[in-house]
Amino acid sequence: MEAWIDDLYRRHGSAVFSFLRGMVRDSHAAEDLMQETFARALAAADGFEARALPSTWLFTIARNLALNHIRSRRHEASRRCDLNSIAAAGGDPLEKAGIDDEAALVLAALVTLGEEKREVFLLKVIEGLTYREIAGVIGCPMGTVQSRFHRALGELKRTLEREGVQK
Amino acid sequence: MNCQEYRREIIDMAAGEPGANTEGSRAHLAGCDACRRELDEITRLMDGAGRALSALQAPPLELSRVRLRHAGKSVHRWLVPGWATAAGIFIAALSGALLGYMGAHTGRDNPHSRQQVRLAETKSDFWTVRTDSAELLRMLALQDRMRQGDLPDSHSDKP
Repeated sequence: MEAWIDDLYRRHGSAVFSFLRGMVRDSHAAEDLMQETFARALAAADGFEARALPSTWLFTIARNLALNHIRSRRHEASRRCDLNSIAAAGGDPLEKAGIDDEAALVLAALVTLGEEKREVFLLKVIEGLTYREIAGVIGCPMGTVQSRFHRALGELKRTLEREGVQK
Repeated sequence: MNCQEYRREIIDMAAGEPGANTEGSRAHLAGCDACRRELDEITRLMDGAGRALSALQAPPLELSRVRLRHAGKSVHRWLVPGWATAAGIFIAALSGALLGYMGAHTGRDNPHSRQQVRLAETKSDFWTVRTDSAELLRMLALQDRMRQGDLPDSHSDKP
């Protein structure tokens, strides 16, 4: 069982961590939630249905944990602060490692997205899940996923244009 | 289709959606500078996000922590299931309430009950005193009649 969870981590650990980091915007919380995701995966391994993809199954667990964490924290006040200051202040050594300014600004711009659009965008960009797979993870119709992704892109583009990153 | 409609297809194509109308979009892009610029922007944005997010190195999985959490969940699941805890609390609360109710109506500590006992004792004492007084008066009357020689036959010493 441990070999199985180890293999699962090697395949999806990074993506799950990136997704959690993008969702909760806190490396320490993301790390803790990642360990919890795999602990829950191990606990629920018997109930895992082979017809589900391991990645979508893991992301479902991770997403539920992230949303619970966000609900318990509720610090949406920071959503509207200046992106340049977020990117410059950074403070997160993981973010600073090998990320150019533009990528850092894109990462910071993610903060301005609402949770529903952010999770769809992250699942698409990080793991490359299809709309159908994302719909399975978040439990809503495929059309809703498509619409949220389009709106997420539009909002990010407008935010970055305001900051002078894209023209 | 106009540019606005094609842009939806272009986003899906850039996102690698299997159902995207790739051929139609490519044909449109070949002749539309504005949509090509749009595609460039979307691609740049998604690449930037992908670069930033993939640079976040996942911390190593601490199997000991995972095992510990897993063990904690197993113990909790098998020894103290949530429904059993809830049922136990409910039964304890119900029993407590029932005992409290019974105690309030029958218990010795109830002030109302103590008053009732005291009243009953007082009544009993009253009847005892009253009976004793009646007996005393009857005996005094009998003594007077003996002095006056007016005793009934049943009280005479003579055969």
